[in-house]
Amino acid sequence: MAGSSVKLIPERDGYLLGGERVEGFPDQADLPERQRVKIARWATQLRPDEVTVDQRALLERQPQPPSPRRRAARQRSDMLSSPLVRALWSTLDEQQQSLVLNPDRRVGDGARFPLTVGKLAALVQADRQKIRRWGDNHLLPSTRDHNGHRQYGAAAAIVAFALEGSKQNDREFYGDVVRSDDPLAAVRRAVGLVTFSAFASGARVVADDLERTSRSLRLVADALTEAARRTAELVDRDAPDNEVVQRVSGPAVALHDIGAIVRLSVPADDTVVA
Amino acid sequence: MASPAHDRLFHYTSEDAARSIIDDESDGFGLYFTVGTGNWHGHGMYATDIAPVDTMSMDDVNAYCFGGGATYAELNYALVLLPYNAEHRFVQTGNPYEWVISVSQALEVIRLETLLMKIQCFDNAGWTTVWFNEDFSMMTSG
Repeated sequence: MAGSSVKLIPERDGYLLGGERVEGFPDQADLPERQRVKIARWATQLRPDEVTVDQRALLERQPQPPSPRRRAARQRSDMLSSPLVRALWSTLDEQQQSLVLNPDRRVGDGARFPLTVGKLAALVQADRQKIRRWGDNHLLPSTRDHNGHRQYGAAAAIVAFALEGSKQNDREFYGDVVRSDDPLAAVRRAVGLVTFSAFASGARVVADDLERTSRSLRLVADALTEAARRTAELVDRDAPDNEVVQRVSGPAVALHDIGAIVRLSVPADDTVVA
Repeated sequence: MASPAHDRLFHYTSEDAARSIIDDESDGFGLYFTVGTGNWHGHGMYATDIAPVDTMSMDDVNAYCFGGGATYAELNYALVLLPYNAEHRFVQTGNPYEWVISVSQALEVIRLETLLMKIQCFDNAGWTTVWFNEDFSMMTSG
């Protein structure tokens, strides 16, 4: 019995044990705990009225989700679906998009997200110091592993490709925005000035480009609107003023971090994952 | 509710999110989904009946379920799901291509041991199975 494994039968009304069908999901006390846990979980999900006290106790002894790793993955996924990151995706060329989908193709060694500093550097073909500097300047979204090392998801890869494709002066400007006492004012100023300059230059304006730019700005506007709504909710919930101020207008708030504000309920970017 | 015509539903997601489901399973947490912060039709686990068959699947899901706003990086993995168990049932939203198991808040856990059949991944060659639920017997009983 100790070596037997259990399988859920396709009709989901019982399980197979040593090739024999068992009706329902009774506990098998002489099976290894891992097998008993499976049966208890099936019982909970398929015959909740028949779960025994022992099965409940067994489940309570198991690690309770979500795991720290899952919280970090969830945070990276939320960042990936941020309108700001979505807006950057369309600025990547076909090869860069393909590498975000399959980092292994360039990095090798079965690389998959989340990536370390070294692997992200290899993916975007930038040196490690540059990736570290972007991280230190809050330009790249990241989580941390149990050793405190930064981990980078697909959102970071998209931002990194966009940064690598920009000019040094531009990157310095982004860093200045991050360090500004009032980053949102800097954003307003930049959007106004850059848009004005683009039109004032008399450069040819292509309808497709206008539509793409308009769509990107709408995504950013949606993120800002959502951030404003969430902030209002936080205030409505009588959060301490200093918490609202700290989380919404602190100096670490950069363009990409507006997305993080939208997700106030999720641990902050630098949360150390245990 | 999911109709009998839909014996499978599909939750499209990122590699990072899909892999964390597999990794946590092997670490003893079991199979579970953690609800995100998006709340298109309320918080919950969303799925569609658009099956992963080719590149167009991601385009269709993007168009019909994300308003065209999502990127391939958010959609290149698909969880293949049964539509219900005794605990949960996917219920159709106002969108004819979209179903949801509703929960009250973000980060809530939905257990998947009896719902998740396999996980598929898109690469240039098409959709391939990268993980399947070994706890499901392949043989019908009786």
